[in-house]
Amino acid sequence: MIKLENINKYYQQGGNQYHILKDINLTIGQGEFVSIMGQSGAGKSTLINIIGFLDDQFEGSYYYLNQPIHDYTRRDFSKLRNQNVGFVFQNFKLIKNLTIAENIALPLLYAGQKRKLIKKQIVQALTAVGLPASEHKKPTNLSGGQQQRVSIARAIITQPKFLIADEPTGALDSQTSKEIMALFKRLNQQNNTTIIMVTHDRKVAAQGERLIQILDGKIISDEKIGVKA
Amino acid sequence: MQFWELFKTSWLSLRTNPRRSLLTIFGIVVGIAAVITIISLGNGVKKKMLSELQATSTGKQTTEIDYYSNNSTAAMGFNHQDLEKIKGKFSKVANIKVNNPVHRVTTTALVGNQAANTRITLLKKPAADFKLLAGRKITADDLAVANPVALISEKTAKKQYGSSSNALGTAVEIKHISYRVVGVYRSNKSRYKVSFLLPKRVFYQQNTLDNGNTIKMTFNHGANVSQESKQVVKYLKKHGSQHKQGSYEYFDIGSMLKSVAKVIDALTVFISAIAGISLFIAGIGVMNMMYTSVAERTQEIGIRLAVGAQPRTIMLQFLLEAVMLTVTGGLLGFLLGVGLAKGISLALPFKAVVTFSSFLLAFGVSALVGILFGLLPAKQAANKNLIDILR
Repeated sequence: MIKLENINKYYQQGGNQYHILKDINLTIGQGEFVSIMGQSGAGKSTLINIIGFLDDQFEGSYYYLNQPIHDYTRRDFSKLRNQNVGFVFQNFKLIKNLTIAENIALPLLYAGQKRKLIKKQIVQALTAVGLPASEHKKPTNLSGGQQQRVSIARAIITQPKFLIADEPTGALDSQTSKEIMALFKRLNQQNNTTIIMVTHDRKVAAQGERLIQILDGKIISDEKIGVKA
Repeated sequence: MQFWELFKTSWLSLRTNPRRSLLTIFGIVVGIAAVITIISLGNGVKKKMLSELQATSTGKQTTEIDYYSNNSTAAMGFNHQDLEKIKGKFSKVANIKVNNPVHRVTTTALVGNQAANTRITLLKKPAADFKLLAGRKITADDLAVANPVALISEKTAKKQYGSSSNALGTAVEIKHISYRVVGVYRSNKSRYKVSFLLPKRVFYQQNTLDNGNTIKMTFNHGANVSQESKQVVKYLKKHGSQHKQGSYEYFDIGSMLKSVAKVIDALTVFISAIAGISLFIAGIGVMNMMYTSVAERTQEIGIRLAVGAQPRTIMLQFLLEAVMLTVTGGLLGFLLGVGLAKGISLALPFKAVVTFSSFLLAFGVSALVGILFGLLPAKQAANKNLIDILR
């Protein structure tokens, strides 16, 4: 599904240029649960930003479902993001002024749907992440774990092909982390949603079925772990 | 995103910071209200002026044509035949009559046995605003029955007869009519600074009613008054009874009114432009607020972009927020301006006139201000680097 060929990425900071990703070659298939590990600054986030169509400034070729993404415009990227990816961030990234329902509705609204017609989908998504009947609350009234569930609900509401999770448990305690990981696993197994997750935590990484390790912009190991139940 | 949903999104965003939104709106309200007040009052002055100068009470328009004699013959420029000819020839002339606005004439008078050029004021109504030194005034009865009586000024009386009382009972012959002097007066008013006061009807007695040097024409609704009048003048210059002895002139009130209206318009625009400065400042307030808002909501912009918003949609959202603020301000300002203008005009001799075009102006200008001053912040919001925001 995702095929990266010779991806290079440079950062310009001050007068210096940093070579942050070096010749990345990576293929991810439908339904995989991939964990990406590495030290800070190794390029994990940069890599998933490229995979998740957030970053269109890179060198090399990216084929998504055999389409040449590297040729797309900024506009196309918006559309790709909207229809194919769900994002789960470390600090949840919910809009504080909006209610839970409005936050979850965002991707559907940008896909061109009407607020009135998507209430049912929102209820379903909230039920799927274990937060029924909280549509009208504000994000600030929820605990960290609950907020992360909301952001997962927002990520899955368009039924995307894959989820990008950047340190999804980084701001949560271990008990809540377990619950969130269980939720990811269930999504992966029940809906066959591809999940690509970046984490520092070896225990969390072990929940996936494939572990990629990155160091200084290079993939240093890529191995199957665990067994799909 | 569908436009209506985008509209709601902007509305919800504005509502999250009501105090700031209201303050920004307030600036626009003041600016628009000032402009609308001035325009409404300006329109009021114009309407009042035009209606007073031009139309009769029923809305019909009138013009006057004057005759100027080349020599000092007493012949009047218009007679009965002239009026009939004009009536027959020009169908748009609803009514035509001879106007004798001449209250003061200079003519030859025979005082005693001397003939002299004398200035005379003609009275239509009994006059009392002078000081009577001897005898009596010209009464309403004198005027009604066209009694040939005259008042003589103190100066003339002394010059001719030595004293005021000597003048009483003497006769003065003017245009073959002999008037009996019944009183002597003194006045500083310019209209009485003449030798004699005579009843108007007596003076014009020998002339038939249709004779005179000025005619007043009333036109039917919808007639091009100045064009018609010009044609009447042209016709008179060829066929008028006195066209060889003098000239017929038409003073184009219509074109004068037009230029008066132009001056008022220009003044209104000028003062409105000054009031518009406050609108400009309010616009900068909007811009300021939008920049602050964009800076504060960087995270929100990032999230929206991440879940698939087009940069253009983000731009539209912020632009809509700015336009909604200014248009709300514009509509409130319009209402306030109308109220102010009506209130002010209570103390003035004319009424404020609010037109639909001033409504459109308020609406259009406020929307324009929103677009003008919202565009840059909105563009900035749309062009933010997604990776930088989300990091």
